Amino acid sequence: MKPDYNRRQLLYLCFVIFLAPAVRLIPVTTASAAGSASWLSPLLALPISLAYLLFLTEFMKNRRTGEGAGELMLRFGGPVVGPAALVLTAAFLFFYCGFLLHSGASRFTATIYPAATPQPFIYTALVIGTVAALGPMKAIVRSAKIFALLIIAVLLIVVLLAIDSLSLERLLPIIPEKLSALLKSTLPVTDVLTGAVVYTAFAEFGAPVYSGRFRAYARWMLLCAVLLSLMTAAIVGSYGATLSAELLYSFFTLTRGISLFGSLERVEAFIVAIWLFPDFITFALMAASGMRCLQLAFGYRPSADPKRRSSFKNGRWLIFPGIAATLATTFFIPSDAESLKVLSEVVVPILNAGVLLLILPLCYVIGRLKKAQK
Amino acid sequence: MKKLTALICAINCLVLCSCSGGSIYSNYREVEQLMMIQAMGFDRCDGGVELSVSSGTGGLSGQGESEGGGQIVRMSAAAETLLTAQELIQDYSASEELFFAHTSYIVIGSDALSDGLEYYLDYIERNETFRLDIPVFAASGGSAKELVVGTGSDSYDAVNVLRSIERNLGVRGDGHIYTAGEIAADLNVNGSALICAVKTVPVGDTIKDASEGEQTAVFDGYAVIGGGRAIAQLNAHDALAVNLLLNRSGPSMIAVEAEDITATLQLDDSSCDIRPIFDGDELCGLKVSLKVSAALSEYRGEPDIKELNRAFERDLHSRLDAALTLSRETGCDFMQLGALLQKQQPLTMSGMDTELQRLLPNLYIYINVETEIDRGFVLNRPEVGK
Repeated sequence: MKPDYNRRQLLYLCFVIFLAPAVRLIPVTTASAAGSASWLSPLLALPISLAYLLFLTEFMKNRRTGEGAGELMLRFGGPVVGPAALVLTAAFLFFYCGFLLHSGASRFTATIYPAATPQPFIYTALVIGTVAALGPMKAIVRSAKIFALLIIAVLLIVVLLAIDSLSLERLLPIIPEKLSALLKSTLPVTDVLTGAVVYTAFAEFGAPVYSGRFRAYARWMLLCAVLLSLMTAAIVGSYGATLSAELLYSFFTLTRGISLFGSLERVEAFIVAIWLFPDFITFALMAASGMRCLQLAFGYRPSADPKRRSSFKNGRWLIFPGIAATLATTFFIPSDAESLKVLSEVVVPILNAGVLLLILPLCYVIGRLKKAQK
Repeated sequence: MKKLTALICAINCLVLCSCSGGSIYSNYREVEQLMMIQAMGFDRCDGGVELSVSSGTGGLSGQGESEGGGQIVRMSAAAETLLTAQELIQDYSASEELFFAHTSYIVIGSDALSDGLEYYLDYIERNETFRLDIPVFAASGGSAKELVVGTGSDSYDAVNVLRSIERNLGVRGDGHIYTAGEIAADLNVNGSALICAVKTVPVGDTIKDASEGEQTAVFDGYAVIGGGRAIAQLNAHDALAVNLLLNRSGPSMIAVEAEDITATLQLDDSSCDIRPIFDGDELCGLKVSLKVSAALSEYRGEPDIKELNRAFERDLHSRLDAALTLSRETGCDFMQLGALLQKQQPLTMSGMDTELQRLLPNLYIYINVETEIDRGFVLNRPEVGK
C-alpha cells in the first residue's frame, strides 16, 4: 500500500506545530530568565533536546508499517498501562486543544482586535479544526508543508528587517555568571522542540517505516534553534531583555514596527493572521491524535484514511467526548492575560513534560522489560 | 456533506474576517472617512492630561488636495486620561473617524516629562495602535500642544516640521531621535535615557512668505531622563558629543574660530574609544580617546591648518567634556556608556551597565581628542586685478 506521506512532510508538520508555542513562550520566558543572553537559549537547548530525540528514535524504531506513537504505546505498555497511558495522553491533547484555542484568540484580541471578545475566534477555530481532525491525516500533513514555507519566509523577512533596529549592547556580553540562568532558560525551548517531535510521531501511522530518524530530526532541531535564536536576537536586540519579557507578544510587537523601505507598514495583522495556520494545523493534529489514542485505548483499530468525514463508526465517535473536554477547557480557562501566562508558562509545560518524560518512557520501559522476559 | 462543510467554512471565514469588530483597522470604515493622525502631543494639565493631535497634509485619506484631502486638522483636548482625551477629540471631530495607527511622531511637553515618563511610555507600549519605533520628542521648555498645534501654517504643520528635523538629523548625524522602544529599553537598564528635544521658534524673517506669528521647531539637544523624569538638558551645541562618543556621527558641519580664521569643517570620519582606568581593582576613571577627520569646507581669513586643528580639538574637547560632566553631575549614565564598557570588557566590567552611573560622580575622566583636517587644500588664487 502506498504511504500517505513521507518523512519530509512530517518534518514540515513538526515545524508548523512548533511555531505556535515557540512564539508564545520565546523570548518572553527566556528573556526573563537569561536577560540579554537569551538569544543563546535555543542553541543551548539543543543537547538536551537531542538526547530526548535519541530516546524517541530508540522507541520509534520498533514501529511497524501503519503504526504511530499511539500504536507503539499500546503495544509496549501492554493491556493495562497501554490504554491508561493513551487515555492520559488523549486527555492532555484535548486539554491542549482548548488552551490553544484560547491562546490563539488571545493573540488576535491582544494584537489586532482589542475591542473583540475571544469567543468568536475560539468557536470558529473549534469548528474548522474539528472538521479537519475528522478528515484524513494526509490532508493535515500536506497542508503543513504549504504553510511551513510561507511561515519560514515571513519569519526570515521579519528578522532581516529588524536587524536595522537592534543594538549589540542589548545582546552582549555573555557573562559566565549568568550561566545557571541561561541553562534554566533552555527549559521552555526544550519543552517546545521535543513536544513538536513527539506529537508529530502520533501522525506517523500514514508514513512508511524509515531509517535515519535521528539525523533528519536533529537537522530539523538545529534549524528551529537557529531560527528561534535569530528571532530572539531581533526582539531582545531591539527592545532589551526587560521590555521583551514584559511584552505580551513580543514577536508581533516587533512586526508592528516593520517597514518595507517606507512604502509598506503595519503588516502585523497579516502576520498574526498567518499564525492562524499553525494553530489550525496543531489543533487538527492534536484532536485527530487524541481521537486515535482513545480509539486505540478502547480496543478499536482505526484506519489511516477515513472514507467519510461524517462516519463515526470504528470508535470515531470518541472525538465528541474529546471535543467536549476541549470545549469545557475553553470555558474554564480565564481570559485574562495573567492566567493565560501562568497556563502557558507553567501548567502546559508541566503537563507536556508529564507526557514526554513519564508516560512515553514508562510504556517504553514496560515494553523492554516484557521483551527481556521473553 | 461537502456542501455543508464548505458552508460552515465560509461562515467561519466571514466571522474571522469581518464580523467580530474592533480591529485596529478602524472597524472597516470607508477610507474617505478616515482622518489620519500623524503627530501627537502629551501634556500634563490640572486634573489630568492634554492630548494634541495634528494630521499632516493629506490627513484625509483617499482624497487628493483638490478634493479637500490636503487640509490640515489640528485638535487638542484635556481629560483625565489620554484615551478619554482621544475619545473627546473624536467627539469634537464630527465628520471623520480619527485614525491613530499611522502616528509617526510623539511629542511630550516639559511639564509632563518633569512629572514622569512612565505613564506615557506605558500608554504607547500598551496600546496596540502604536508602534514601539515611533520617534519621541521632548518639547523643550514648553508644551507639546504649542508644538503640535501651534507650529506651521495653512500649508504645513507639526508633522512636516518634525519630519524635516528627523531628516536633517539623519543626514547630518549631529543628533539622534530616540524611539519609544529605545527609551524604554534604556530606562529598563539603568533608569536613564535621552530624548531628542525640540523647541518652538518663530519663523521670523527666515522664510519670506511666512505669516505673522508663524512658528516652527528646531533641534534643541536632548532632555536627560533620570529616575524616570526629565532632570536636565544637554544643549544643541554639545549634543553632537553623544553621537561622537557612541560612534554614530555623520557629516556634521562645525564652525571653528581660531586667531585669524573662521572656518567651517565637515566631519568625515570619527572613532571614539572609551577605556576604563583602574586603581588596583577599583575603577577610578575613564579614558576617552576621540579621533576625528574633517574637511575644510569654508574659511574666512588666513588659513593655518595647524592652528585650525588646535581650535578644532578644543571645540570637540569642550563638547565631550560638557556631555560627560552633565552625566557625572546628574549621576545618570544616559548615554549607556556602562553597557558599552561591559560589552568591550565583559569580565572586568561585568554589571557596569547599571553600576556606572553610581560611580560616575567620583570618576576621573580623561579626554584626548586628535583631529586631522584632510582635504584642507587652500586655493592659491592670483589676486584679482593684478
